[in-house]
Amino acid sequence: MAEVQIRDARKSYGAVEVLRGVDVEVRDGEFVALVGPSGCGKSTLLRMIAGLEGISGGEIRIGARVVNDIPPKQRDVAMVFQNYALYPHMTVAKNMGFSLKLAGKPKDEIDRRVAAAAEILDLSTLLDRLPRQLSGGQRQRVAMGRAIVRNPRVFLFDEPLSNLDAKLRVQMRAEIKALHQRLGTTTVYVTHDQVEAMTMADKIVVMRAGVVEQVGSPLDLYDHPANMFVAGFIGSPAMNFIEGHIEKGRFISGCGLSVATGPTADTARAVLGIRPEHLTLDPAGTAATVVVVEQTGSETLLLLDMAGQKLTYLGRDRLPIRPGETVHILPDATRLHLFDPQSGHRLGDRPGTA
Amino acid sequence: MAAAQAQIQSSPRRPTQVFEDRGQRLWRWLTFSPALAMMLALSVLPIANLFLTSFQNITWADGQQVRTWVGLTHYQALFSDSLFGAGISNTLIFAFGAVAGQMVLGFAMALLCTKIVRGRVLYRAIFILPILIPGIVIGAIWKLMLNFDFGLVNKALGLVGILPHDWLGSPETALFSVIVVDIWHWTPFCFLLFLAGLESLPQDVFEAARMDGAGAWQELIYVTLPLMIPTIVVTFAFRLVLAFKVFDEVYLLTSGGPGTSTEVISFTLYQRFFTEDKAGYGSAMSVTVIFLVSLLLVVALSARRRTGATS
Amino acid sequence: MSRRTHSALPVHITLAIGAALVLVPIIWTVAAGFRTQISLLMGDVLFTPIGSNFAEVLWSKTSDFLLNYRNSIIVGIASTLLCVVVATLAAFSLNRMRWPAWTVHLFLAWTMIFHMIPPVALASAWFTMARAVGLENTFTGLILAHATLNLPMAIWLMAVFVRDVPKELEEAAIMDGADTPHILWHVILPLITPGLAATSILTFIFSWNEFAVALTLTMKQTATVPVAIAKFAQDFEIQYTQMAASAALAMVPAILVLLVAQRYIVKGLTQGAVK
Ligand SMILES: Nc1ncnc2c1ncn2[C@@H]1O[C@H](COP(=O)(O)OP(=O)(O)OP(=O)(O)O)[C@@H](O)[C@H]1O
Ligand SMILES: [Mg+2]
Repeated sequence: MAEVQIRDARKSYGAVEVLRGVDVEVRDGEFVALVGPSGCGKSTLLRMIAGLEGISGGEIRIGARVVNDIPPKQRDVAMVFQNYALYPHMTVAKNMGFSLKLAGKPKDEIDRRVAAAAEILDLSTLLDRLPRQLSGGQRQRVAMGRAIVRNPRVFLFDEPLSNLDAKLRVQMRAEIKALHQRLGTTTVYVTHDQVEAMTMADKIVVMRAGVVEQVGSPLDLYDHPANMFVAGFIGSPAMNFIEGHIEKGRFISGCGLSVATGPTADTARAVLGIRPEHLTLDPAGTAATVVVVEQTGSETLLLLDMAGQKLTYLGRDRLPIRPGETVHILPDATRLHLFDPQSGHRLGDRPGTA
Repeated sequence: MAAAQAQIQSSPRRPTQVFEDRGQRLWRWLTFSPALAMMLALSVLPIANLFLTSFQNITWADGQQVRTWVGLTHYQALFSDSLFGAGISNTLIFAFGAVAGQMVLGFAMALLCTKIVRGRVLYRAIFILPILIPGIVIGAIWKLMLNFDFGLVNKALGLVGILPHDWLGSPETALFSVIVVDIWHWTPFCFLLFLAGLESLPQDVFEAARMDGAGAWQELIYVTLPLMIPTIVVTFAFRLVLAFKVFDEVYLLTSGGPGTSTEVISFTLYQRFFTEDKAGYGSAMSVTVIFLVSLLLVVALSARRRTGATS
Repeated sequence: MSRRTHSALPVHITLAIGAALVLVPIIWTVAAGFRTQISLLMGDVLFTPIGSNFAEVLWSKTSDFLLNYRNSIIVGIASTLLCVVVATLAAFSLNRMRWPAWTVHLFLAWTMIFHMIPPVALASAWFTMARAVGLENTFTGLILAHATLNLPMAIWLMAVFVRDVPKELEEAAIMDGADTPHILWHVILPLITPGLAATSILTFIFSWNEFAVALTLTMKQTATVPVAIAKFAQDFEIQYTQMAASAALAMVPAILVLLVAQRYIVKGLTQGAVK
């Protein structure tokens, strides 16, 4: 096990700079999720850690060693690929034991370690099957088994669950998390599914267009997004953004919304961010028309129109509301986020959650 | 080409795409060098040798090779060599005639084959056979088939009242006969490629056309043929290249005769080198042929690039 | 639907005629191998098959056909081995070892030009070179020549098959600690075996069939089957029935391959041209 330190990592393909100075610190045993929209460079960064891509600039350290010039096989990291990349001509046992065989380990040791890994992953009865005889979830587990038999210092995952159906994804999510807790191996996990990141990671790295937007624990990112991008990316359904201005400690919007922001400097333009789950229905609030009602059974989602401003409301209760009706919306004043509309940066650190 | 190369090499070294250690660089060379060595030693070197020889006369004195420099004499002589002219024109007639026949017949058979379900594999097996038979054996087969006295062709034609004809021995029909033999030999190849192409066409397009009320002919002209154009072009190019190289059947069937009526370029080359032992002149002829072939390829590739850019 | 069932009969008839046009000359020639010269000249439909032509071709003191057959097999197998090994390595290298684009394009363009050149044009240069290094009238010379002649096609074919192996498998192997030779041996090779079989079969057949170069690079002791058959036609008094018999014998590999490996041949022939 080891920590991974990425300092000012850069990557360019010809003239195109894909990573533009990325700094990430992964502590020993930590589970770090890399999230961000498609094409932002998550896979590229992961593959640079693995050694599958060269490093154009900066430095990557695994443990005490700078690995920039060290080939993959000497880095002692294991990777789980998106579509598993199982060797189709090898049985499950052969797939899992391949790295040990290449390392010249004796046969009985390979068998023992494969058996142990298979035990952990519940694959013991499948060892003689070929990959094509397995279900998606089983293949996924074999791919993980191939990674764990080696007992590497770092696990790398590149969207490992994206080929599974929703239910299996939730189950595998729990399994990977349990595996991490059991083995305690440093893990870097790429996903574009922020729910996955929120539920699994100790720390999330949000990337956009080759730069890191924010690093923090899941709740940290949820409670204190550093900018509008992170605020909009983390949390589901996405945060509402309302344009307006700040005057004498109040945020005032054209749609009629007016909330106390506490001691904040007056600005001509500001954006208020408020999560759907932090809106309340209250007769004292601002009137809005219900456009769409979505009931999931446990929750109610309302799409609202507040004088032209679109808003999403999420309530824990089942509400007898119909489209066209008018409701009154009151934001939870302790859960507001204010952003600068130009830069997108967070304004001050209040009035976010204490 | 050299200019482009120099330009690429002088551009600043790009950052490594993948991690590359010394072992990988070594293996990169180890895996490529056998092929490179073979091509250099057995294609580049001999062509260089031909090029050099094409400016020389080679004679033998006391078992020793004597090379004398003759400049462009051989190339000048090429222009007035009627055999070379006949060789080129016969090769062109042969190649285009034979390939056109193969394409049409091959396409028709492939199309018919897609219309049946049972027996498709059997027909395919039968049609593949000629591709696998040595050209020289095909020559032998048709030397027998076209024999004036006992050949099956004359026998069959006799049944419908056509008098026996010396197909290979008369100047009017010799080239035609060789073309027919080549069609017999290579139609199966076109058939096979077309069948593969037709089988891989998306079926929903045909169903849509049928829903739109297209008849069999309309379906062929408006749906099948346009979709098959890539396969047709590739097959045509592939066959044409091989047809230009024709040698075996001609060697066995007619040896270029009667007169120069089936003199194809490969055979002319063969005679210059090995029958007449004119190494210098033969080399000049070879170099010219190689030059023409390269020119053809460059034109074809740039045409493809241009059409690729517009479409 | 009714139109389709209606048209099935003419389709079958046309295809059957096509098949007959292919098969009749072959069968008739093989049959000619079992006739006497007189029976062939008379053109009797019914005849008593005799084995003397085959016996003559195979075992007579004056015939070298068995030797030619052995030569063809030696040259075919050796040149095929050499060719597919070199081609597989090259295809892997060009596809996966990150050569600069110009290297790949230049090399492939050269293989194309080489493929278009009539072998006869090169034969004399090969002959000169073979003599210079003492390889004239040896198998080595002809094996090298055949391997080179078939190399372009083999490289193109193998390049298609190598390209079809997912890149991620290779990366997974790298992560598992595999070096290039391991990747080739344990990952690429097992997955391209069918392609390798197809390429090998075609390469063997093309070597077996090759005539022009064999004619120039061999003499009596090293002559291959096509060279021997061509001799028949050159004779002043052509032994038609023996020529037919040897032609029949020369077709044996083609027929065998067709019977046992049709799938691979189709794969090889179509992949090579279409991709
Ligand atoms: N070999 C390459 N050559 C040029 N550009 C590349 C190459 N590989 C990736 N890129 C570019 O680098 C950028 C980052 O790619 P990357 O695969 O890291 O994105 P990602 O964040 O993993 O996206 P996704 O969520 O879709 O997997 C993309 O814009 C991509 O187009
Ligand atoms: Mg990715």
